[in-house]
Amino acid sequence: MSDEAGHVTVTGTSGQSYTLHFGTNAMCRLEAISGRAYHEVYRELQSGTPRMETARQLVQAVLIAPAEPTADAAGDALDDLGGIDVLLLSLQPKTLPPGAAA
Amino acid sequence: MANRERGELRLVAPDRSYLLRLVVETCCELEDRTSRELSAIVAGANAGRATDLRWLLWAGLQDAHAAAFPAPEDAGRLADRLGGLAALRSVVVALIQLNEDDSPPEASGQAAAEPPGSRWRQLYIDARRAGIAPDQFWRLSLRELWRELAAQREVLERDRTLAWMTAALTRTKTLPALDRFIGRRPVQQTPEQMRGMLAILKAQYPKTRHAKGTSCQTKQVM
Repeated sequence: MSDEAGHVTVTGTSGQSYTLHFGTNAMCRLEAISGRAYHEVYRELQSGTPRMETARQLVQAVLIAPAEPTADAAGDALDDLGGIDVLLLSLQPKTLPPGAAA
Repeated sequence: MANRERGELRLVAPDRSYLLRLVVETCCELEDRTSRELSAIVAGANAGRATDLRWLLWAGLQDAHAAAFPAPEDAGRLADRLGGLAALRSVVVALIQLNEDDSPPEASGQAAAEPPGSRWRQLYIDARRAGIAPDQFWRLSLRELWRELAAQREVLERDRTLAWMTAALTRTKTLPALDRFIGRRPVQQTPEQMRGMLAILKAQYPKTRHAKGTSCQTKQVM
């Protein structure tokens, strides 16, 4: 896993690489996909019992390579990365946007 | 240098600085692009919605940097260079505060519920009444616009007061002294000044004797 200028590259169990970017535009995409403010989504993810749809929405918003994934492709990527728990553990705390903490 | 009184805010990024200014024309374009009222976008930004924060940063950049930021995503990338959403939020909140209409609601004449677009129409009419040219209106920052309209309200209030006072004076039997009417207090002389004036009068007017039963008259020497 590498971290450069807010970009995080993660390799899935299949060997596929995924580049995630937790930037401002990604948070705007997250709000557009979820219909909620990004900090509300993060609060749910940090609650420990997030809905799977919310986890998939986060991956769909922050995944920049492969670019512009569908919801299903984001779900597949999430599975390949080991599920939401593994993803969140590997991302916290440095990739969480400031103000996202509950 | 940014002129805050013109609604300008200097934004310092790691590589260069930008001049933010929220002008009327961009605000209308923002509402058109988002299909939302500016007030709703501002409320969203104040609540910390990333999308609304990014839209307002984009809007603030349009007056001086439109070519470099054609899309809100470009403003989003600038926000990342500033440090992310926390930095974006502090910049946008400062821009909002700088452009707030601080006149009381009854003075600004804002109705509680207005159909979309009607506020801009009314603001345009009010601005034209205040003597602002059409081109000038679209280029004003919101801060400047609120001030122009506040000045116009004061002129209107002055004119109404003048009309009322004129009508009131025509109904009085005696015209009050100007000093009293305008509230100017007469200048009080000091005892020294009074003595000085008496000395001047004494030198100018000779002593006169008055016959019994005649009025007191003086003869001017000069």
